[in-house]
Amino acid sequence: MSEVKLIITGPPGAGKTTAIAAISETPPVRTDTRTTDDLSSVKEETTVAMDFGELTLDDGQKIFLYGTPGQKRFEFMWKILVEGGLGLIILVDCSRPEPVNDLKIYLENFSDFIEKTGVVVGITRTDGVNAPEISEFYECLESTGRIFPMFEVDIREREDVALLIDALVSALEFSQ
Amino acid sequence: MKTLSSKGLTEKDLLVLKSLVDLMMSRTSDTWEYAESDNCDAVIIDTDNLENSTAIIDEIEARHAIAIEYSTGASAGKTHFRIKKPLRAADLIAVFNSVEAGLAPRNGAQPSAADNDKPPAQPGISSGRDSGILDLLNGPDSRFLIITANNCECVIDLTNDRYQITSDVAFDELLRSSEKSITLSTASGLQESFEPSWQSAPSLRWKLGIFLSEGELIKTLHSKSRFKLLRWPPSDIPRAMPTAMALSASLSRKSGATIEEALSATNVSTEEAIGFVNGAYLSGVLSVRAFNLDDHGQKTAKAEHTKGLFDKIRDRLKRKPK
Repeated sequence: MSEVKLIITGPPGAGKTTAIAAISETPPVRTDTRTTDDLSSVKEETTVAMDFGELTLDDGQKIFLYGTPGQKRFEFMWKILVEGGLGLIILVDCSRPEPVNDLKIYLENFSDFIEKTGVVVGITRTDGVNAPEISEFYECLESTGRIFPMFEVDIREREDVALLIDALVSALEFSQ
Repeated sequence: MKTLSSKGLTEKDLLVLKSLVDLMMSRTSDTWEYAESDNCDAVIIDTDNLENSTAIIDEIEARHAIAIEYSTGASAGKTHFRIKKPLRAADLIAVFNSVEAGLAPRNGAQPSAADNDKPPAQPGISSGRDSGILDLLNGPDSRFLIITANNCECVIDLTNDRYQITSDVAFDELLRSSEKSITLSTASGLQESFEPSWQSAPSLRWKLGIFLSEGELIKTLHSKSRFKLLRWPPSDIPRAMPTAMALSASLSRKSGATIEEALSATNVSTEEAIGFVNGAYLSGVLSVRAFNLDDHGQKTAKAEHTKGLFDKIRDRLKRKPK
């Protein structure tokens, strides 16, 4: 059976590791290390290579879930991880200073992969006073001329991660 | 081509409007252009900024142009068409498409408060068929929807996307009830009397479309039109209606899709597809392309709904973790 990969990306702290832990049927493999840069005030550990989880379909086929490192300096890993991927989930953290700009950056960085496959956007931590409305994220998407699925999610919840994967699969199957 | 001008807009709003008109060319049936002229097809009037807006609207309508009210808060009911501040592409597209279709929302609905020569708006209009009510929702006098079923009453404030319900019945359950009766009301006292107990419902219009359509499209839509979804529904919609994912994907293709094409691609029932289209339209996130009566729809090959990879992934997601 061929390998089926789903990629989860987004800025540091957006919840990529948490999302994989929420949905994976095996304990996720993590490559976290203690943060030493500016990020240390936000989180103690950060992913440096990838996170990995898996789901087994009824016929035994495996779906592999890969979480990319969030920091830009590990960008070289992004291209390696998306190779042969089925689609992309971008997580955007609304507690960060410029979440709409974060989305733009990730759409741009993964544009080749998105063009060939599909993408779904999960907006997290939307309860802060400065969190942008979802309409602001859609306005950002409108500039690309394409409409992607976008949902406000609590990434700690398995059902919310499942919703993002379901939307991605539907977009891949019916939007092309 | 159709032309648009404006009255009373701030510099910022005017800039936004001109940019949106330029950007939206591909999303409307006809081509729209902004023009500094008194003879445009449509005029957007910022009624918040103009003291004499009623006279301006009368003058515009006297020369058979379309007046579009642009304001904050509740509609003043002065015009057939209205856009709520701030300017959003989806709202503008929805209004343009309605203008193009030549179908003002109140056609066949209640008279507007601006119509002094017509009978005053009725305090309540009931409908035996739910889909008939949906045709009236965009009218300027449509402020409250009252749904009763099984000794439970729900008042829906259409202007502010919120509702109040008199029992523990879930909102979705009430909308799904086959025994419900529905009344559309303009009664101004309703808002104040329920003030403390309103519950916010951002997906309200989506749900009204999905649950009250009864397989009939809203009158301003045509079954052979090409629909394009501008935004996916909020997450509570696919949770209430799992087929919403497939419909959203199908209708968000670059060229959109007709209902027939969406049905062919997804295996969703006609009733669900129509309810979804109505919900998207009422929520202002649906672009409608003109239909051609000679075009019987692009026949797409019926997908083989065998146990493919995507179906297997969906099945796996439904299974609870061990």
